[in-house]
Amino acid sequence: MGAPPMTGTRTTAPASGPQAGPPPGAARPRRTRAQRFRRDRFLLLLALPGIAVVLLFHYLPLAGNVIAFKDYQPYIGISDSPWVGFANFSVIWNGDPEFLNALTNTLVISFVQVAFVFPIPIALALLLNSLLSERLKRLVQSVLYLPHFMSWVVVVAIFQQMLGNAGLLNTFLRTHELGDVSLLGNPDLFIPLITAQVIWKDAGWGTIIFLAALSRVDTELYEASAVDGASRWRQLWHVTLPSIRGVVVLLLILKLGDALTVGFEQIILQRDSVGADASEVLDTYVYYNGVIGGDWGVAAAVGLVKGLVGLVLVYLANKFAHLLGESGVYQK
Amino acid sequence: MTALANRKPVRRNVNGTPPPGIAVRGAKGVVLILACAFVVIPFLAVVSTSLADQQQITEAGGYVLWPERPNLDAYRAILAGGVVTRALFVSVGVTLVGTLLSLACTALLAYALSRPGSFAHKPLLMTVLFTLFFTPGIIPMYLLVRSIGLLDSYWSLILPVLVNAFQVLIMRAFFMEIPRELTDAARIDGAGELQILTRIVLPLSKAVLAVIGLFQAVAFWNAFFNAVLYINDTAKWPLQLVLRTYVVDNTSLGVDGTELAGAAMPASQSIQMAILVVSLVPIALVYPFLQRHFAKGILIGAVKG
Amino acid sequence: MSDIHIGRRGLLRATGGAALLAAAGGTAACGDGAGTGEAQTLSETGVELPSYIPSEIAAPDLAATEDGVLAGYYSFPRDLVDAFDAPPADGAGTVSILTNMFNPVPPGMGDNAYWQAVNASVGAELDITMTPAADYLAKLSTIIAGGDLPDMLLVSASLANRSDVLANLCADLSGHISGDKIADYPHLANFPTDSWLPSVYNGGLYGVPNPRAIVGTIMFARGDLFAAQGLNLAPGSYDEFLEAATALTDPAANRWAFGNPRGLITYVGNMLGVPNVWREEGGEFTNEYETEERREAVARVAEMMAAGLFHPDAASENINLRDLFGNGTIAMGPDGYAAWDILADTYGVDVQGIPAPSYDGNGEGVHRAGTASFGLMAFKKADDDRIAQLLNVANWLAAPIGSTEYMLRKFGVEGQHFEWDGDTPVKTALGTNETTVPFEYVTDAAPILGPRAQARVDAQRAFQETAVPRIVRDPSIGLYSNTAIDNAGELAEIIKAAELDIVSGRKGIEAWDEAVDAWRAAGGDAIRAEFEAAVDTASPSPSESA
Repeated sequence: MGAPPMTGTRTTAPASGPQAGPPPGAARPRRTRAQRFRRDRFLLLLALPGIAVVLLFHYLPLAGNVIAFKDYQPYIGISDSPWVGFANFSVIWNGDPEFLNALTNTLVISFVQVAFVFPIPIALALLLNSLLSERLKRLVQSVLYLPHFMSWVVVVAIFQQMLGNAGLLNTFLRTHELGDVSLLGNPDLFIPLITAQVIWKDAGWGTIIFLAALSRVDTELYEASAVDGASRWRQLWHVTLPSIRGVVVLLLILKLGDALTVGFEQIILQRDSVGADASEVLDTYVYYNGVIGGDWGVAAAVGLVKGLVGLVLVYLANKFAHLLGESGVYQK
Repeated sequence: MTALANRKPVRRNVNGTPPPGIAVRGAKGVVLILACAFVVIPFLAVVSTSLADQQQITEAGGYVLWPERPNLDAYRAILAGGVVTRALFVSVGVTLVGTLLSLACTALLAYALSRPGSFAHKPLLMTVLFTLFFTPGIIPMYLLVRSIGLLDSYWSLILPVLVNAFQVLIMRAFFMEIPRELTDAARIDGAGELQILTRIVLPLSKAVLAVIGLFQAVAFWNAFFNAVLYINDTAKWPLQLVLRTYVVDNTSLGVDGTELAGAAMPASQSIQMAILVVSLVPIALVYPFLQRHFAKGILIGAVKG
Repeated sequence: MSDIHIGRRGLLRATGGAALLAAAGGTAACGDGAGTGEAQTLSETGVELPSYIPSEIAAPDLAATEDGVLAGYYSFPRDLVDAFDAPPADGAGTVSILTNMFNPVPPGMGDNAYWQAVNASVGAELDITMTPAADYLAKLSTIIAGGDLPDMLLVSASLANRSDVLANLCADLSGHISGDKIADYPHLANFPTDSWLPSVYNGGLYGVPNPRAIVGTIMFARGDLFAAQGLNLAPGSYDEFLEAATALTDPAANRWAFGNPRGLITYVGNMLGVPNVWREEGGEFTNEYETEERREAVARVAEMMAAGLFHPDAASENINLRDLFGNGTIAMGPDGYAAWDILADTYGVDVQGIPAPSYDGNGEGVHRAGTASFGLMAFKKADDDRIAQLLNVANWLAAPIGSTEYMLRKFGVEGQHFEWDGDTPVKTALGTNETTVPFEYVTDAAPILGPRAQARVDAQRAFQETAVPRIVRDPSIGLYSNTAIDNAGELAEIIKAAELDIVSGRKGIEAWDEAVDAWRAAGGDAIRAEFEAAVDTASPSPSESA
């Protein structure tokens, strides 16, 4: 092994970092806490700015989430608002059939998105990665990632203009006496519809992270496997996929942690056209049954519950990943 | 991972395999052309509508696919008077400074967390991870920002969102895949942590730095709600918030028309689409410049030296 | 009615009684309750509303009437009068104001000659913190939580615990403006009494309204499309209205009668005599949703929808109704009264208003009153001198048409921000850019018709003259219910979801009964109890729920 290249982009790290410390060496023996602290003190110093920001701008105001257990009124203040126990949680703890419907819809949509939406950026990234022409690849990438910047209001409006009951498609069908197809406003097609919209909006954007991972694949591995006579598919399976597996697993686990959150704005914009039975999800249910009235306590309570559920899901998913030999989000 | 000796020369593409057959290439082409068409046509509609006159928009009932009498009136209306231009500078400044600072914090933190077994590794990692699940409410955030004197300061748009756990975790995952031998070797050569980070880890991580930088830039660029809460002085408003005031709630002929009665003429569809274009173009231009960092085979050069 | 002590009940007697009686006569089905404004001897809220003293600054072409028909102007008065001899808020220093905005952001005060000219004329520096309307509630909540209230703040109708916020943080203005004391602020005295009623809380007056016409929402129609088919713009019954709608619908030509199902429910409800939100009889409140007429209106609209009279995407509530009205895709639709000019000016089409006929053709339909104020401009608690200064600022902002102050506020400085083109002021580029400071969402002059071409003003006036005598007011305005505010969104959503499910055919009309039960359980009954308690007790703090 030669020396690593010392050139390259300069870091933007602030000058507050420490100068090079003595090398900790590669010694194996177990160390005491104090020894480990001494060894890693510069590493900790590097973590300091980020950790400070997290503590100040995240954990400190997080204390405000006690309003989940209070009848919080902004004009009274957090500390003086009266305690109400778990009353704010009743919106999701009341066995309301509409809540159960919303939860079911949420889980179904989440499942569909993990099963059908999540893989698409990966496939797209692999497809782009396999293109011979670098210029074509860049051009296509630059086009496909644009819809990410459109707001949901515009995306929904465009879908309606194209596929709505009075949209371009149906106007065409009607004027040619071909009948019409109710794609929007059809409760049975709601989940496929919002799935298509998510794919349209974010699939290209989602490729970016996988393209970055793919850029690290050692081309010699390809060459070696090609020399071995590996087919393109075998190459994909044995060389390309393993190189992005870590990122895929990480994103999948984090996605699971978000399983109770599905496109609030996207859904609320289209709720009227299919009705609440088909479109109510956890966030819209909570919104209409508490938060909409400016009930800060309910919003905080639901946030806590969703956070706990997300935490448990990530914990379990991470355990599962460890069983499969992946490192997951954090190590054992 | 195998590396075998070179036996027979073959014509190769980048991946080292022979070019695929016509059928495969044709299929790829169809998929990509379709995908691009699905994206381009709605965008064409957005741009066309921003250039169309009210008469054509009225006839089309919303979006037009091609402007019959193209004009720049909508763009003139937005850009007249300098308010939008000023906000553009604010947004560029906040995005640049924010992204650089954020990238620095993220990279340092991700690197510090990339060494399992180091002191307090797991507690620190968990500290970061937990922020994914529990977020502070807007009122406690406001009270904090106010109490540390950041109201009406550009820093209120930057500091609270400087570190994003998701991005730290992604970057950390990339850092951790850098072969241990490289960093260990440098350590033996006497390099300190900062040197290892700046001379080995970061140069090998251009792709992920570009990705995370882009994520952060886009987040800074699109953010408006913190400015609603923290910035009273409209001269300091970022572009997205200024443009938001052009898009009044146009749910007219509605049940509750009374609420809006007396409101000014709502912005026309062409102005709304021009706003979309104006807010999109600067950030969309960033990506092509980052793409070169996605070129293949960066790692190999380093490892094989 | 400019000089009498007038409470809630008195107001109903003075301005609403005739209309309520008319409503009762028009619809036998609900006739028993409507006239009760006269009959009951309930205690009043005890608040003396400001007297109504019409302005004499510029005589209108069509004078306002006492029951709420707006004054009309065919052109801008050119002989401008100074409404103030000297800057009225001189010495007030900086006046901080928090309000929402619907306009593009103007240049900041330092770069804005218009803003500076207004400040000079007012005699104070109006430091306005403006927030897009969609984000205003969040902004207001954080400002309240932070505790540094501005001098004046727009209190949204949807702010939770509004009554407590006002009582604890804001000034009761009744000592300054009740009854004839309002004469000290003559332009505020020009506000119709209806507009003051929403300012009543806790037995006090907690703000200056932003006056709006009582006429509220109008069913607009494309006069040209009606004329082309020889249809009657004043249908005499539901059946006649339905015939017109059917004749106007032609999907092959991309035309439908309507685009807004829920708006139609309200309109058909007007034909049937549905109450305006609540009906009160003998201190007992019945909600519109609980009436048979309202249920019937939903069923009728479901039939119209099934008959294809609605734009196919109407149930999505996601279509640009104004554009579709403007291009003739839909022929009729309800909108705020101010939309009359907006629609006619933007699309250059013939806009007409259709007063609701009675359902069966006997008598008249009713017209649902709008909320006569946009929000509530409350003042931070302060000493009397400061409150007087703030009222002087509001008084300046309410200076009516015909005054130099009005022209300055609406159009800026002549020669700089606008030029006269005949009798019409036309904004310059600078004027368009700088005059979007949202002074009009602090408070505004009393609403008027015009100035526009005589034909249009006459049509608008004719509509008001028909509709206003039939107007049905919401008897709960001026009463307070915490549940009504806190649960407003949830309750509205229950009804909205059911209405859309039914009219789009996803559910039968029996879903309505379930929705009304759900509405009662989710807060409807609680609101009723709070209103009944509020009417029942003359207590100065009627807001506390049981």
